[in-house]
Amino acid sequence: MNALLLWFHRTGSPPHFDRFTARWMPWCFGLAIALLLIGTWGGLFMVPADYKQGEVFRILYIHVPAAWSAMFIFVAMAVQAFIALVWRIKACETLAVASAPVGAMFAAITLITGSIWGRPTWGTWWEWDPRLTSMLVMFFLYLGVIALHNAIEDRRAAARAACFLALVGVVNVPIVHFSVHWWNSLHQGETIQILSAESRMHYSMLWPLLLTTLATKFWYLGSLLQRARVLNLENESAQPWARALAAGSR
Amino acid sequence: MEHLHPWFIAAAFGVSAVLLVADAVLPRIKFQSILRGILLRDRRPSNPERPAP
Repeated sequence: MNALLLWFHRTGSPPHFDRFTARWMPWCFGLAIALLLIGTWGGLFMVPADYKQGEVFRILYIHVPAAWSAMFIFVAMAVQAFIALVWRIKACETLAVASAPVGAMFAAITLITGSIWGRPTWGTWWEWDPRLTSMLVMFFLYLGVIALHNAIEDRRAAARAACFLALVGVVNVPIVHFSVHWWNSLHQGETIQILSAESRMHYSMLWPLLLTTLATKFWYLGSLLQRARVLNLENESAQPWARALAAGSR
Repeated sequence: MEHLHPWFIAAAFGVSAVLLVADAVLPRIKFQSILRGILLRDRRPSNPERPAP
């Protein structure tokens, strides 16, 4: 236990955090890209077309993992924000703030690919449906966290305000998830049941989705580390280790 | 409409790829620009912490 605490304490120090992120970021991105390529190849060329929707159903191989990641990242951001606000851990502030742009990107992918799928399937690009609207609210919440962090000059106060918004905004995550149950929704209900293992999607069509889902998680880790590294350097730019890093980058 | 399905699929995956590439590249550019900023600040003659030549 002491070794673990020591590791957390050491990794939390800015120069160690920089080395840690520089070391693990390429592995996360590398794994994400490999899984994304295999999953996308499988989804586009190896699985059969859906008997009802035809070929256009293949959009789900990017739409669904992006939607799951947008929700997962919001919860992760809220947990980091909670730790940052309660225990005043600076590294958690950095991680929470760094999570917001990645989550916003996945929410944007969800909305855009969903809209492209909706046109041939529902006959409309957009509908003010509970699932679509709550996902749009989530996208705006992500933008709100980013904007709030950039609007305040004092960096610690800015991070705390952004963390507070992330914590309040997490209430939207169950609304997005259960919207298809709580209201009459145009959006289809759950097809994949991970916990009950009663998926309505045959394994021959499921495996690329599992790969792209895993890929988006590794992408989040890689992007989180990269963005946290930028924030860490920005906050510590006057410190000797940052100047040594800049001098070594010439 | 079915003959257009490949275009819808291409658009969805294309937009996603562009956003993912931007997410990976933009922070890297910002990181490099911060490093350049630190270097320029250290080279400024008025900087009291400037290392001796």
